[in-house]
Amino acid sequence: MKSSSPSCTNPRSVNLSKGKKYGLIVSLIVIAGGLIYLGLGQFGQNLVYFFTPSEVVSFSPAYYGKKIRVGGMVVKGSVQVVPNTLKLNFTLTDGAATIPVEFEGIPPDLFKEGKGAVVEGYWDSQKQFHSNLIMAKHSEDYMPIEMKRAGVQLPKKDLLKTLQQ
Amino acid sequence: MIRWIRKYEGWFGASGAICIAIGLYFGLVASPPDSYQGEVVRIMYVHVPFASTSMTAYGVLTVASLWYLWKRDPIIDNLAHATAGIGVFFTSGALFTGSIWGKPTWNTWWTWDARLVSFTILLLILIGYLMLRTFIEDKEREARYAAILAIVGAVDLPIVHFSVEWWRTLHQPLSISQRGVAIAGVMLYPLIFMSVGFYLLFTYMVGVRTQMLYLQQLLEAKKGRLLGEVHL
Amino acid sequence: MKGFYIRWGGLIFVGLWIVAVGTQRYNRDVRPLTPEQVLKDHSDGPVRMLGMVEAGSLRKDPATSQMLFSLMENGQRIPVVYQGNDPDNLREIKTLVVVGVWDDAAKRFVAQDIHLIPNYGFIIAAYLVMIPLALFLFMMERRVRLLYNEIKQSKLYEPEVGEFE
Repeated sequence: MKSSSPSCTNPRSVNLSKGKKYGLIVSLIVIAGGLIYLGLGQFGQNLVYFFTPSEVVSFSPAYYGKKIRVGGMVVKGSVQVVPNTLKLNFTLTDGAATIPVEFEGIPPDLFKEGKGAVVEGYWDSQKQFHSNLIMAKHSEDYMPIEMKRAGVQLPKKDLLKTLQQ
Repeated sequence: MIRWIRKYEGWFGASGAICIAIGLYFGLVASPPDSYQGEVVRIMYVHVPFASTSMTAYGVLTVASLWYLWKRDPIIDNLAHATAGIGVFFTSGALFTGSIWGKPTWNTWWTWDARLVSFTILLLILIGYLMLRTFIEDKEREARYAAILAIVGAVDLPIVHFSVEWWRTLHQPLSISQRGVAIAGVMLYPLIFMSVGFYLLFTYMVGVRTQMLYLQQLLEAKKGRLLGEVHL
Repeated sequence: MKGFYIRWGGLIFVGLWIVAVGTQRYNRDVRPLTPEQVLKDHSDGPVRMLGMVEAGSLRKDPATSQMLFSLMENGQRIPVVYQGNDPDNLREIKTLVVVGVWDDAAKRFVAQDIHLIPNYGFIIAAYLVMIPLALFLFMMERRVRLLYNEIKQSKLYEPEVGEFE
């Protein structure tokens, strides 16, 4: 780029054709609407993507029956499969409080004792959580099986700390 | 600048292709499965490069926009425009691969989690940027407005990056952070090769597209389709 | 222009060759069988079998510390016995790949190793996202070349020496 004529800082304005003008307005509205929807609607509510068991335990009865997400660690040895059904019982913990979860459906393959899980469902007045959807929350460390069996630890964020954010 | 791009772009493209080829071999064949996720962890080797390249693309777009507003050099505007076009591809690539990774691991294609939402906002900003450019006919004004939009939109960049550290998300926290590198060596190699390959490929693509936009403008100008004096 | 098409043709050729080799290797070494196939043709070497661990079937033999469970797929049930490293991935209502041999005398599958479901479909789908990217690059490169040609031919612009060769 050698030449830069003065016209580039002193442009002539051009009138938009009618079709383009409508197109511009419509597309800007769509984009702005999308941003507002994402930014204020869903996102604002879900900045807290899930609650921790201790938060849920301290909830007022107003939360009974309301659809919420709870995230925590599946307590080791707590998973019980009801034979011949697709029902599963387990306990979620964040280190401080635990809540019992009754789940019906197919758990994800990564659902495992001692690992993170986010369950979607409702909390009833008997202090029991009912859910039809489990999402597995995996940590940010990746290593082959041999390394894990050898007991190697990578510098990851503690799962329980992830919950307390 | 165009001459410089013409001269060196081939090297970026070729080395990018080689890096990606090596990365694909390491990622799909040589690397072991993850102890927890199994084979499906291999999606990481394509998802992370897509995502980090698209963030870099937005970073380049921001810098180029600032530079344009400062110097008003039209070729820099072409560069910014090119970066946005390619950024859209990489950003949607990251969203698609992420969605495909999310189904077998998290058990959901999409969820309203801070990382996913802020990243989608990045994509929308880029699409909005390109649309804005289509609808303004005056080249100089188009460039100026677009640059301002890009700079304002850059607010989203740190939000995307740190969303997984600031808020509770389903998305895992950063693997490479101040805490150290939480990826075992054998699994880090394919990731590094793929990432470097993607960065090189991105550079190459930006070079090609910048040329394309420049030439389009040049041709239009020479054919007298541009009103006013040409500022090429 | 010719060199450009040759380059891209070569790239596609290499890509197709890799896909062919990959498919061949996958079919030979990696693809898991269904229980039905395992029952039908007893192969001598170890095979990979995919199925879901039936709810309520998993138990541990206290005497031999073997894990016993039955794997189900399409209504076909196969009893499996596993002994080996800690069965990290074993859980009820979970689809797994077991590696081992069919013991025809005892009518059960003897597993040496248990893997997670490989989800190759997802992996391939994720890598295929690179194809639109390549297509996009191809279109751009082609456009650039056409534009150079057009500018050279149109004589609207006299390039400086060495600018557009």
